[in-house]
Amino acid sequence: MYFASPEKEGVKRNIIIFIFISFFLLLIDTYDRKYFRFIKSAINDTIIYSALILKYPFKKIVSVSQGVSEIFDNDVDVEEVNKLKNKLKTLKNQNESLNFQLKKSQTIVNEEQYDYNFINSKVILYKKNLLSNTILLSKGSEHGVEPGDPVVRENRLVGKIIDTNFVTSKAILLTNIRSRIPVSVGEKGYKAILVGNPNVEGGISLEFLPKQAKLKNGDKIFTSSIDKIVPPGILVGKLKIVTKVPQDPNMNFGRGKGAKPTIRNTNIIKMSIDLAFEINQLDYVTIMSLKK
Amino acid sequence: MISFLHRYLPFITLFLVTIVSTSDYSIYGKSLGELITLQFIIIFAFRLANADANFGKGSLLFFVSIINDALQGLQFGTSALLYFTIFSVATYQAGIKLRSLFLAEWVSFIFAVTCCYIILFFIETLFYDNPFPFTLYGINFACTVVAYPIFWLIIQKIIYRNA
Repeated sequence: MYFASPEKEGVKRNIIIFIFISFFLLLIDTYDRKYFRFIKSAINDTIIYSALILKYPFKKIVSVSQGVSEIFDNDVDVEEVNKLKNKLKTLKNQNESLNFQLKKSQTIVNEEQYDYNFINSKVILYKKNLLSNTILLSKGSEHGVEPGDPVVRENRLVGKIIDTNFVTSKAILLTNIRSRIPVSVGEKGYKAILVGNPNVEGGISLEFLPKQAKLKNGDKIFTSSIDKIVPPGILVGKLKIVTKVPQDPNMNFGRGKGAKPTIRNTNIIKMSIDLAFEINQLDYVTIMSLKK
Repeated sequence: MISFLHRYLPFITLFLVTIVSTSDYSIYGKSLGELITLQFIIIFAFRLANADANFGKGSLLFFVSIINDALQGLQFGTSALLYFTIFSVATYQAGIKLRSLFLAEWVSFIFAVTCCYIILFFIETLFYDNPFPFTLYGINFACTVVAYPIFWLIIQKIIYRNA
């Protein structure tokens, strides 16, 4: 038989009180971005770094077990490392020279030039669950990071910043349902919008592709600049088109979600996008902050 | 010490699950966090298994919900609304039950989780202005409901067997 004890009554009263407080917090957090923001940033930074400290022993246990299994792997080839170092130097030099040439050509054709600060940041947490698909970064508004700044890794787009605290910031990945990135696809540079879509393979789809777009397997996708939000020319990924028969080079794609092929392309089994980054590579990233 | 653990084990478990990200583990290419909402199961199963598991009369539950919001980058109060929905259904169920009946508890868990998804739908569309990914939520709902009996067995029959 159920008897109402003072403790049970206290729990019931507290549930109602906390539900009201939660709803109130949700309203303030949504509509008051001015005063509550400072408190929220301070709370977020404290909790994030405290959680990192608490999580440290668990991470260590996992890394020790991984380390034990790696003992039995082959030794790292020193010669190979030296070769790679030399290659890196050559590529850096090539990059500098190409950047110089690019700037020169941009000046000649009178194209707008954007100047960005490159802020290197550590990925301190990666959350992928029902409520979020985000990464938390170790740089925040104190370091010049602002909402909307693109996040890249080795010149490949990863996502963009959506919220900043004082010393941390939150970025959504391209696969996040809230992600919308203007891109140009293929050699002819068809304009489209890359949309996070958890319902398709790879978690991403192309929308608003022109009707006359002719695409082929392996076509690369780069960012295209709109309102200086994302700098143009950053690699996003490539198209993966699976067909029943060898592909017709003049294949047309209709306008629609996921760039579905038109009726004429009955040979197409599916089309997906291979992103240029892998989530398990995201230990460090670079935030591109537009210089004021 | 044992009575402390008996009282605070639910809070400690919930706290650790929130801190140690379930995103680190994946099954068939989907992260565990996408498939199962462990927090819902922990709150509900512990509340029914242990009469003393009231999460500091709700205050510790609120504390964990704020931590979860900060780590997930959500608006403050989002997790709290969901956690307290689960907690209130579990408290009601714990109040009316005479003895532990798995089927009754499972049905009320399904009801509580459904309420949470309805709240989440309104939060996502009203406060976040996000499209609601029905497939993702459908998979999560099914997996969470299916996973409940396993956790019920562990919590009721192993952890609190002699309590």
